[in-house]
Amino acid sequence: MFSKFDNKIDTIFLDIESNNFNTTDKVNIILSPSLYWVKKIKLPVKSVREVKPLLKSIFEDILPDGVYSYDVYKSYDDFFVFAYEDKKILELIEQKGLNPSQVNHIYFAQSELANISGAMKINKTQSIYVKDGIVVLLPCCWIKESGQLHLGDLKLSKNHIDIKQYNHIVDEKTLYTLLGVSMLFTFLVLFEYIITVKNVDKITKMKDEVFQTYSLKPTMMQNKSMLKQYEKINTKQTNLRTYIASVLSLKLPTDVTLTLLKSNSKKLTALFNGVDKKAYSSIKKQFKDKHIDLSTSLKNDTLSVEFKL
Amino acid sequence: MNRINPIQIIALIVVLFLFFSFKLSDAKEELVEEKDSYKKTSQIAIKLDALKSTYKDKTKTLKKLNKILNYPLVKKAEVTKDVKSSKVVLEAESINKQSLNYLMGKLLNNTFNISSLNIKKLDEKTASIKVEIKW
Repeated sequence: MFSKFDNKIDTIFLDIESNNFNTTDKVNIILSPSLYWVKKIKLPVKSVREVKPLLKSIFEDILPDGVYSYDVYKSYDDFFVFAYEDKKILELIEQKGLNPSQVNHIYFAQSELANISGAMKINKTQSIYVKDGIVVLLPCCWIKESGQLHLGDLKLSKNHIDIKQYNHIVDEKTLYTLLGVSMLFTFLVLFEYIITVKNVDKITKMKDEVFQTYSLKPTMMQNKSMLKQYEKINTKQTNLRTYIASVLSLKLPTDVTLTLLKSNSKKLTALFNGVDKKAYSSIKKQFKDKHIDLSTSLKNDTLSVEFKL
Repeated sequence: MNRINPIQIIALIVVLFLFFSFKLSDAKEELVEEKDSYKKTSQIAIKLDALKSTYKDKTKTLKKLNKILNYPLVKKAEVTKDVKSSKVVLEAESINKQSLNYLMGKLLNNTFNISSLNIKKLDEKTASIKVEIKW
């Protein structure tokens, strides 16, 4: 059941009883009436769009258990409504030696063969016949055929369907909901990523501004080293003032005088004259009470006190 | 046939989601590091600026010193001022008690970088002084 449709794409008639198709070319498929359910109905609506939401309810309680897809087209005042199982059609396509990627379009025999006259033989045991406008499948012996079906002469309509490969696993609505949700999350993450990258840029610019405003050195290592150097100066100057204050606030015995106060970058030295052992103990005690770290040496009556800066 | 398979699109979107999630995680980490670095840089810059203006400003140091040296009590003591490229040396061979107290009080209460100091008692009322201030 295989004939040339045009120069490019062949058209084949697919039925459970069809022979295997040995081709690697693209094909259009006409589905046998055995692969779908069809109803011809009149409805108080004008467009196909209005009928689509009703399709499932039209076939309710008629169809055997399964996962069905639905389709509809209008012919004059009648609507032809269809129910079919994607998985069953897909399996049959593969069973008959075709790869799903080879399939160009899939049509119902109803939409393409409704104008045949009499019965047409489709294989060794079956024929198709149009009764009350519906294309039906009959065993050969029931009616006398007028001839073999030649699909090469057929001009295909626009009423083709899409077979959904995963319809039996997840229904279309769930699939698109999942798709929508995953897209939403991806966009949210992408949006947050863009915002975060912008914030990183903003803070980098702010950091550059700090470098310019305070005329910092190019590397943080240089700046940290400079800061350490200045902090060292600050500590030394604070210590110098603390130690001088502690020396000047000493309660010295009457004979003891401060004769020298000398400092360099490392230490501060104070010399006291007229220091005996009692005065030495008193001075030492006063420094100890102030918790000041120092070294002392008493030579004759001269006391040398050294503070490390 | 459905040429575009929604499951493949979902898989692609999941891959994109994971990719951007990893990128987002990296970017957030970078943001935290950058914020931390900015905070540290600002703190260092402020401290450095304050310390620099305290100890490294030649003009400011000399201005403050001149003000102190021009005080009548100090002026009378004839304290010499020797300004060099990175320091100034104040020296008085003989300075009385009041002038010395005033001068030292002012020097120690200001934020000068006193690199060396030498005060020697000459007698009960006078002393010699030499102070070196750096910038």
